[in-house]
Amino acid sequence: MSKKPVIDIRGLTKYYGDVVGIEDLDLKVYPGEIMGFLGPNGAGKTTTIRACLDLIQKSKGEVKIFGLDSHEDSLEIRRRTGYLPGDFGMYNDLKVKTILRYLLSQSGIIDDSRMRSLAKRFELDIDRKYGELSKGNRQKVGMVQAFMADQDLVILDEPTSGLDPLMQKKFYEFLREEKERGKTIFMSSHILAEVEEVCDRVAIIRKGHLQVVEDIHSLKDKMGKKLVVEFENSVDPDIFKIDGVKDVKIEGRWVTMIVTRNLDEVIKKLSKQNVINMSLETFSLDQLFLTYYSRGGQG
Amino acid sequence: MWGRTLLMEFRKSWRGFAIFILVVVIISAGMAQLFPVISEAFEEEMEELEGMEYVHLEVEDEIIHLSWVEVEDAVEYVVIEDRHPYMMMSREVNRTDMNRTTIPHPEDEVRYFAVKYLTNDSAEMPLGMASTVEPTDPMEELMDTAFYRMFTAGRADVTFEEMEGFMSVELYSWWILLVGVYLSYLSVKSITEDYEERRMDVIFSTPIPRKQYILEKFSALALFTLILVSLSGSMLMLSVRAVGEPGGWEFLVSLLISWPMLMVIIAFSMLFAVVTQSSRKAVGGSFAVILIQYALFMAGHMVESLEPVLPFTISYYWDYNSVLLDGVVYPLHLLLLVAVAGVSVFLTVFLFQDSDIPA
Repeated sequence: MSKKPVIDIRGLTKYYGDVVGIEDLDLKVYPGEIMGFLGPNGAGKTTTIRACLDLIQKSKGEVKIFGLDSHEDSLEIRRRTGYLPGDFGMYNDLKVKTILRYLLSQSGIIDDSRMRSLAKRFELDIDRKYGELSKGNRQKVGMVQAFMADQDLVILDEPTSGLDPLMQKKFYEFLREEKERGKTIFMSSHILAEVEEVCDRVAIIRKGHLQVVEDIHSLKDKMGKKLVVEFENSVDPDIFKIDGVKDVKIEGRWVTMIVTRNLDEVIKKLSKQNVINMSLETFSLDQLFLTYYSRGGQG
Repeated sequence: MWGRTLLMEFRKSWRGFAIFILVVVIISAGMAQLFPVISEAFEEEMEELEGMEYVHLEVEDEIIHLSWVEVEDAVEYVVIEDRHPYMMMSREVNRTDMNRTTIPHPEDEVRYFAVKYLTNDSAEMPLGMASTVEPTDPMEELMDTAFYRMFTAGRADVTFEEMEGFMSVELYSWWILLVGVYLSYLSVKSITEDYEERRMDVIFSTPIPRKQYILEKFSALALFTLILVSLSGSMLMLSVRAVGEPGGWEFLVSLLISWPMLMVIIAFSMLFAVVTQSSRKAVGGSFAVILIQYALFMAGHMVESLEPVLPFTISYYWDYNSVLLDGVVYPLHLLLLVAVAGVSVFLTVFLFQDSDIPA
């Protein structure tokens, strides 16, 4: 992409004593895109996000947001960035509207019409006390809070945690609308289907190291398709020694393989055999993710 | 935007603030209402030892001859002695069915005796007191002890006969415990609750500088404390006047000048909160500081060799007695307290500025 990145992370490293939080991480998020940030628990997703917002100090590296230094220009960055933390609390004894107005006022915004319309959209009763809300409704408070100041960049850490599936769908729809409005969204998630549904690109992190950054579709293409064939008789596995075919497994008359390239040639080879049944599956992001990790990041 | 966090602090804590102010006002103003009863009791005791007309004491050749009037229904007399007229540490020295006894008195020590009698139905009744010296005011006796000076901040001229002296001992001497401990708790909680209830991330996702966050929290607590000392002082002043005592301004002023000392407590507590990021540790640390300095302040007045520690306590610089008894305020002391509070706040901001906020 030729556009200047909104988030530009170079060599970001964070150590907690002897423990590596993240190490030498490079990542760019471009304007108007929704970037998914995937990784298992403890991989370093939250550490990366919190270093971007200057909530923790980086050990090494550079983080620029809107071209500004994440530490030196933290205030200006926060003025232009909304954030939904993965684990957050509010003031239990206060009404939601009081809390949200307070947070809004910190950004210098008095008009709460967007806050009200977001609350309405996400079916959140802002006249109730925060402490009286269910987990799902508390998450909605976080969502409204992240988007109410209508900032250019929104960083979301596990945004749909605790939401019911219907509300998740509403939220995905909302994210797509925000993207249409030109907003940049950087979100970490455990829910791969969510990333698949809304993200343009995905970054996968493991044990503090970035494994891959890819467009979701090209990542899927790169991972290939799973071909399962049932033959009338057992076949010679050598016929599948084709460039772009890997992980060939034969169990009796059943053959399973991963095809990343030359599908045409594979079909031609199959046509010379007596095929009874055949299926070609595209990897879901779930499978992709598991496959990726089971191979230690070797796509 | 300046003031929002300060306002939020009041919004979330106003109930606790209000209840605490009410409690402190009731204690302060109520204490003054006790003065007439207490001072009357002390004045009565000043005149003479109780029942001294019924007991006769004579010292001859290091022997004390004690005799008393006979009581018709007495079956036995009990004699107790102490070195002080208030007989708090007394011990029994004799039990007899006669109306006289002798007690050795090898050294020329001051001795106070009280005679009680037992009746047929085993009731114990006081008869009277006598002493080896001319009877003195028990309050004056008490005031001569080092123990008493712990509660008068070292002053020997504090007496319960006057409202100023009474309030000095009964309210001002433990004001730092009454108010300081709770303020310390509030100051710690105002910060550690944001850590522990995971509000920090949300707060600092807004463009509020960390310095401003600390300063606004400090300002909120400082303002609350000012309201607290002003209201308590005013109500105390009115209460003093209500019992017919003149003036009363000195009571208000001496509470108002506790404000800088309480600022130091708030600043210290916030510093502990930022360093430990834990309510339990910060409350423990700041309570320890308050109690240790209080113990040193008291010990410094009781034990002469400990006097040099006094300038290292914050209580030393809140000289309420000089206002109550002499009508003098020492501005340098107050400025020093303000400076210590300022340095603590600066240190808190400095440490908080670049610290990691735990996830």
